[in-house]
Amino acid sequence: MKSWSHSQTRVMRICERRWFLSYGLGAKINSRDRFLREIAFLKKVKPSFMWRGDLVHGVIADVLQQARRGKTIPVDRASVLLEQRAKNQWLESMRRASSGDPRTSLQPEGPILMEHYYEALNNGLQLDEIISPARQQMMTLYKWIEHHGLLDEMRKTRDVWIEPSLFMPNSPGFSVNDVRFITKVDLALISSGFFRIYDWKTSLEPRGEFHLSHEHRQASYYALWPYFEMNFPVENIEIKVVYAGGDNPKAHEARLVHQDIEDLIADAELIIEATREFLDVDKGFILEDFDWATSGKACQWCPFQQICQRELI
Amino acid sequence: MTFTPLSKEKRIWATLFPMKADRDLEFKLRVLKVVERLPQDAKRAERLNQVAGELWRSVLKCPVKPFRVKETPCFLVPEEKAGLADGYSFIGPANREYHLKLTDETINVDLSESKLDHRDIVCDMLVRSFSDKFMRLQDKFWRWHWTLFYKNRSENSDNANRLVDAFRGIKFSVVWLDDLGLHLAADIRTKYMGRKSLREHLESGDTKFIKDHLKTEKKGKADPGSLFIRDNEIVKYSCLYAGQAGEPAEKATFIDTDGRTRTVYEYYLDRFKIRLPPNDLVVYVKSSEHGDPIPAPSSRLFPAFDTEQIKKMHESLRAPIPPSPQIPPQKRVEMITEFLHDVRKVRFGDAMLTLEPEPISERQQYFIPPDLLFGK
Repeated sequence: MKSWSHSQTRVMRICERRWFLSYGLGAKINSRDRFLREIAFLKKVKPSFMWRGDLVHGVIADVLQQARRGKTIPVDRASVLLEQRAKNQWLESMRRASSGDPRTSLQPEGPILMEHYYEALNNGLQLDEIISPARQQMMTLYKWIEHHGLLDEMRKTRDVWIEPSLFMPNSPGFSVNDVRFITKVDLALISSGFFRIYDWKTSLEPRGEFHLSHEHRQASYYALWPYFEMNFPVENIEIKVVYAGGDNPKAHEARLVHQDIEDLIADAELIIEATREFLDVDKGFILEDFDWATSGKACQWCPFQQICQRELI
Repeated sequence: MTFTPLSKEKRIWATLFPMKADRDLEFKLRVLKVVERLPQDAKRAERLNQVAGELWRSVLKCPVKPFRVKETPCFLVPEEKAGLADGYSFIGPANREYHLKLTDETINVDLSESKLDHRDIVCDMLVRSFSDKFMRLQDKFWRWHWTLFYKNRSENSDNANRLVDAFRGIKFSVVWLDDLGLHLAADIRTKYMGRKSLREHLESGDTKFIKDHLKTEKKGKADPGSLFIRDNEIVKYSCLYAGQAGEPAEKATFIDTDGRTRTVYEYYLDRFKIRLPPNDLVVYVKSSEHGDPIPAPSSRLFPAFDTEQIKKMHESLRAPIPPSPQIPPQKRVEMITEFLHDVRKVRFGDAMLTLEPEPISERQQYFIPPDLLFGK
């Protein structure tokens, strides 16, 4: 089944070429084709501000996984874990960036940082500039999770999804005709007849009222997974979006009502229809079939910029 | 095929006002080329337009036009400002720095010119003179866009019990017609703005007719809701409500473009010379659905209404309907003429441009279709 996600929509809107390189070619690091190997390498390249979020999400996922097994990772231990992981991944990033080796034995492997790979983007970034805010954000989330009894819930509850894989059966998402619309959730569980979904954000909470924000709309899509795939009534689906970018955690709840569902599906259908031609990989598209980004700003943190730069020489 | 004049002569009017200059207009344009190679794709024109807009707004303060878009991308700029753009750089596709270089190529555009690129930039240069003139008349007009100005006094201001103000505005552009030369094309616009500010609505708890503005009445998640008008007096902007900030203007702060943290109260006083009332509740507004929320004082936000909303509200409250946006042709011409009265003479460089008081007209004619001759 063909699949689509919000991040694909976002990338497609910013730059068609970036979408094609990211999703349209299925490039693998052990490909026979040199160009595909280069693309596969660049798919591992990521800016440090995104890596920071990954570190926080990764450690929180480990804390929850361990809690599920009845083991507690105390917050100070989680902090050490984050720091250690960051140091290892940082060093590996430098090695991989200079050697051009996409592989690593680290688990989780971490990205190759753009600041390490693209010299022009390296403004003397120091590891501590990543670790300090990441640690703060992780601790903020940890406290919120602990305070809301989620660690206990992990042990008690049978049905729990922690950063579920997108490629497993029953993975988060819903189907629009012949296309699987993937939704990425950080944590989901079934408790007391309620389906609860959690989304961790390392940013500041959005300004204004949450129900009028984009984040609310994005979170609303998560609810379509239990609604369509597990037949949960909308009244029994709760979505919490927790922001850890400030001094204190800020949690907001997104609640669906029936009339939203039709609207969300209509929107998803529109997105799918607009991009349908690209879902057809058999058409044998090539890079030249796709437009470049309109604005140069979109390219600043694009990992594929060396490919585009080469074409313009 | 013949056109037959009516027996009693009637005339068709176009809202195009001929423009005359007291001397020959000189349009000397210089070509600036993009040094580096740009991607040749479907978005090239859009990309160059963005650069032209940025160069216009932030450096040259005068019209800039992309030129030879499909071949070797260039920009046309007025000769006297061209030097300022030499070496201008921008970050473009592939995160590369692109530079503009002054060429020796100059283009003298005369008014018999038929090239559309040249015509566009000349029209943009001329329209700016009219915008500037309107801008100087702040006691009479407020700006919505550079080519759309509304009267300060609403059309229904005599009615003390009105629920909304109906502002009449003029939208204009300069057009260059074959054989006829330069004209100002103009038309009338109407904008309805609630008389009560958001602050008054919130304080009184009367939000019945602004539910769609506040999005408390769900019309589907994809619906961005109705607009508010952020009234900064000389200039007004449309915006969408994004929620309350929970603080008054004296306390609500934001980071200004110069990096300074300032209160909303200070900003309005410094920037617009508007002294906000005490405890003016600050709300967040967005310029578009995907824009970033920014703080705005609720006393300066007024709901904009469309004709459907106006009808519903006035029927419900049995209030007199404000002036309609539909205006009979003759009246429309009269209104445009009245608007233009204040800008009939504008300066363009050393030349004085004068608008004819009457728009162009043509004798009304019939087109008599020829007889149908089947089978012949």
